[in-house]
Amino acid sequence: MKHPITLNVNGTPYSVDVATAQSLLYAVRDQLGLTGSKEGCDDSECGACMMLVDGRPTNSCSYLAVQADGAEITTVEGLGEGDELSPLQQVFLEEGGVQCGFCTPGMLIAATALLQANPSPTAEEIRIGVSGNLCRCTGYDGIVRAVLRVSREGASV
Amino acid sequence: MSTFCRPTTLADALAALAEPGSRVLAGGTDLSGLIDRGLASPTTVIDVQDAGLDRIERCGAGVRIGATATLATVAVSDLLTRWTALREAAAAAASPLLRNVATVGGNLCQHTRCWYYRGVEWTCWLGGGDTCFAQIGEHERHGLQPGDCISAHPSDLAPALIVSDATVVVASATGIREQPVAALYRRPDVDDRSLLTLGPDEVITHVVLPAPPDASVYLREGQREAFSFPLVGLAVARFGERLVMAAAGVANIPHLLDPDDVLHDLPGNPQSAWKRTVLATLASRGRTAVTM
Amino acid sequence: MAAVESKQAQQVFIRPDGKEKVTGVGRYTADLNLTGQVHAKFRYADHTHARITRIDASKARALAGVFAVLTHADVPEVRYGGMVQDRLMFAKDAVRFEGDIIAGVAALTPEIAAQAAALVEVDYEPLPAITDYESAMAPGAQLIHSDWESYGAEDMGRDGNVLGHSTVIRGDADAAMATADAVVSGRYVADASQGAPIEPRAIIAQWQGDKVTVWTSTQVPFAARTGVATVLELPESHVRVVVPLLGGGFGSKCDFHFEGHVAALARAARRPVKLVFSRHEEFIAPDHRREGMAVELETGVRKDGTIVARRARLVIDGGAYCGEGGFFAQMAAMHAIGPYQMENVSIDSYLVYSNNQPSSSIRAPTAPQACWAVEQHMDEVAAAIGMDPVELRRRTLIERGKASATGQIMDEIGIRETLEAAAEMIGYGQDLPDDEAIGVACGWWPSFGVNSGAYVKLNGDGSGTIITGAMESGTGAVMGLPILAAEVLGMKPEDFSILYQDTDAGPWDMGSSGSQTTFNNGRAVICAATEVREQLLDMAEKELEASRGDLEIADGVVRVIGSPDKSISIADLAGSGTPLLGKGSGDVPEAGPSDIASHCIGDLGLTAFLAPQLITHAAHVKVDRDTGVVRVLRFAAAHDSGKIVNRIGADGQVYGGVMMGIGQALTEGTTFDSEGRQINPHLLDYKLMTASDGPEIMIHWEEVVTPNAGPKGSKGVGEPPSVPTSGAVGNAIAAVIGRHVNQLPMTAERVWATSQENGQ
Repeated sequence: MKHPITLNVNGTPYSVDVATAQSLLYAVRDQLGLTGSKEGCDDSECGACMMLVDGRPTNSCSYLAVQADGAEITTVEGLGEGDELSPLQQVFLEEGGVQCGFCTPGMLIAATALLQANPSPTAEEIRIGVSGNLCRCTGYDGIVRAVLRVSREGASV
Repeated sequence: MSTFCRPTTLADALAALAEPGSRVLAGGTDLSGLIDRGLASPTTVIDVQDAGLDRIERCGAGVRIGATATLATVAVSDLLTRWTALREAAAAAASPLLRNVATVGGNLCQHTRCWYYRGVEWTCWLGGGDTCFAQIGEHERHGLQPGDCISAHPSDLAPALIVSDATVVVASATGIREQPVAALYRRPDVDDRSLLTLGPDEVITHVVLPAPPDASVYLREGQREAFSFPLVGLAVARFGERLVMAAAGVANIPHLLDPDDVLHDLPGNPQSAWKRTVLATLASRGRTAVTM
Repeated sequence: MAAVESKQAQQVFIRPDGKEKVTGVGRYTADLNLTGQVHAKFRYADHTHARITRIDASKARALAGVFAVLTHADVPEVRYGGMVQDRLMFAKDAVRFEGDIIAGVAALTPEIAAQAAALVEVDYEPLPAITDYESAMAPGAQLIHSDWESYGAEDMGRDGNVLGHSTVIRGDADAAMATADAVVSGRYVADASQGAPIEPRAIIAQWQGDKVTVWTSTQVPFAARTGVATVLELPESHVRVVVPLLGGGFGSKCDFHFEGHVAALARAARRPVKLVFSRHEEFIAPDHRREGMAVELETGVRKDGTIVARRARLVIDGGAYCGEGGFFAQMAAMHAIGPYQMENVSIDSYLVYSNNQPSSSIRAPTAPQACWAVEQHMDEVAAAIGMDPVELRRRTLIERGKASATGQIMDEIGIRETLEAAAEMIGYGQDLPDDEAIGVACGWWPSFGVNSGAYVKLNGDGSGTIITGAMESGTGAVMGLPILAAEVLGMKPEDFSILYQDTDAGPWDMGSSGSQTTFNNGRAVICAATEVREQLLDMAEKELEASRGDLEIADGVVRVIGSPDKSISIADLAGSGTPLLGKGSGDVPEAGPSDIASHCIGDLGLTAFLAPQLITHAAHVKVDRDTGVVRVLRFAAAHDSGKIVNRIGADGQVYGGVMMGIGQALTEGTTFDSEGRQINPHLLDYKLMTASDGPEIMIHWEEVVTPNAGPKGSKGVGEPPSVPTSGAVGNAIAAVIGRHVNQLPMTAERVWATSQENGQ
């Protein structure tokens, strides 16, 4: 049985029909065509699928689309302003926080949520904050440095 | 194909739950995975997030926590400052991101993380098969208590609530009952392999904490620094001279320990000497922490 | 905990693929969908070792929504494999590990495909499974490949379950051992581990007439093309392999796999077919793991630290098929020696078949395990003569200009400098609490010189395009190529776009493996850009009426030296309509000779290391003595990778490699049950390191400008950062608990158990 729901993704409302078991990740990827959010494990273990759901960072692979009916959802595609990168996106590039880029969408979402909740985190707090997001390439160093720099420069996320 | 509803009152939720084959979903972090793997196939999924069960409020000398309050909220709630073990347990569970979504009720009722149970390739004893594969393979992650199933209980919250003398309020369309948190759990047997005492039409609505202990602490060892299930999770509370200890990860349900002989009833097997050592070490550290 | 010094002070080079990656618009293979596509699933083996007596796919074929079901009977019977042709696409007579593929299905949805795969009926006669790989060498052991002698194969010393045998023999180890003041022996066993990129494999294939295009998440597009052409018996011109963005590989996505299956399914289904792996499939797939290894070592040493002799026996678990593993026996033997001076050496190294998942080229294959064993052993050797472990290394590491244990003259190397740098960064010798200690380990790894190609062309507006066969797995190696082209052509790196990862566009390249991209393709790009430079100078000579010797190219113009107004812009020259196109591969450098005994079996040319990379790692750890829980607090990595071309990229390799190495040291171990099935094939129980586990990592580059090497005197960079990591961590743990942990990973349980042995 399909359920008609509304997903407000990056400020745009979408009306879609989803099955009960449909994950939010696949509703957004397959039905809305927003493939920035990735599937790395389908088990909440890697964080590549992370989205903000009503401001909360959420592993969208383990969240049913029907649960998100009416919610405000932000994916990596919604982080910048038009063609402008968000300060975090820009600094991720400058500090070597991106290599293969597969964890990057989820990592940026986690870091954005972290800075919204705590604009001046310590390095330790950043490491804990992104500990639900696995990265195999960077060793996390560039990522931590990037978040610290955005926080120091006081740019709004 | 299943249906989905999101009732806005507890009464509506309970009415829906009275229908056979329905399942409650809160944060969904466990149930969505179980559905994926075919370990659950509910006819109706009842999302209780809007049923008004997410409040944390004072209740006499204690506190009443709604079952859909998130772990992240519990970890930082000002009302819970005197329940150290509970706050520490909530802050240690899963990852910061999952804690934003995962709920108190869901954490208590989650299924074991034993891979022989979760894996799609085989059906273990707990899943209705003949063999507890965990007893054949590696034991680092499995329980120390002998039995038909040696999966390890995964909830960080359960031991912390048990040592705090907490109760759970359980509701169904036909009534409400309140029982100690420990009574939520049962050891499985051949005829009934459920690890929970909840009826199919029942749901946890609240957890009730009585007056706080004089001191408490939650200590755990996972497989890495963050984001792992407890290999051993130990809660210790002191009420005056009385010490209470309970652990996750050492038996298939939360295990109440004898503070003077924490390894009693937990012989493990030749491979689990290390896990027993960790339990004994944490117990000794926990005792020190609450008596200093 | 993090080193917070900003990289801003260094040259900021934004990787050209960066913007699409941070905005989420970049497409990885699983993000692509083609009109009319159907979905593939595999039916895997039901036993880890069995004879197949019957396969019946009729029920699967009859299921509604199924477009194609393929078994061995439906494809050409072509044995394939890089060094040993021991594989078939679909199992025919036997299955040899849990990931062997019996059948492939293409269906309307992934769910229907999975249902149909389960409907394929297979009858088996189970055979004894060999999962304890050391027992595979026992006389009379069940053969994994009963027809091993009939395979096409390179001579690697194969014999039954022994897939390769390599020796290093120099001097007289037996006689020399008798002259030692102390003889130390030890046995170390490393579990298998996984490459575990965050992107699981995905493949889409579409036919147009007789030609197939395959979009795939491979590190080696040209090997994939050759593979598809081989198994489907097509000319390579009929196979185009395109790699969209690749979500990491670490060697898991090397060699040819699955592209043939998906192409065959697409041909049978007459539809584009898409395959996306689950994380579980990613774990059990062939060649996705680092090999398990058992290492026995014996070293004779004099009181002054001179190593008089080294004996070693290594057994390496190759798993069910050879894959790229052919060179492992010899490579592991080289790591049983390490970058030390020793005159008498006797090493036997065996690669064996088992019924475990096949192992392959995970980041510096064989090196981290063998190095972990040898470096812990070296600390035990130091203890035996009462010498400080760093002092022992100071006395025995190869001196510049001296010979390695295989007789290769090591002229331009900085191994001793890396030792001093790492020791200084970590503060070796400082007073620490008694539950903390510092461990040091050294290692080496070759650069790989192979052919590689690139074209450079200039566009009419003076911008440039690099068309390369090289593969970008995330390291930034391809993204750094514009830096090299820009320097030759007096342009800016941002002036270049890159056309890459398309076998119909770029010339052949080995792919993202062997740390070879900058090393080889960098030279190719410089060569191609130099051709264009010559073309520009030819044109400018006429335009400026100047002789070549008076011309220079800089800042986007060709100008007469000393007469700034006599110049013409590259854009004007390129806009004239004359094609400006250069091609290149560069001469492949070769390693200097070695002089070890010529009776080596299985000599695959690795007894001398081309442009060897040298490494010292130092780890500062804290050990909870009661529980065995280890935390790495600080880490120092000193590397000689020659001249560093792209600092931010090179640093990124070290940060990532060290974290991967720490994972391998402490938590990452694949365990097999008694039949060879993985018992932790998922990220829940196979724990990668999180940001919270990360120590402060300090990096030093010992920039020895290396002759006969990569661009500007550079060497490889990508693989060494994982090589001595677990050895350094292991030595630090031992320094706290008083005994070396002889199993890898050194889990809390093993650390605790080892410290208990010490107490007895």
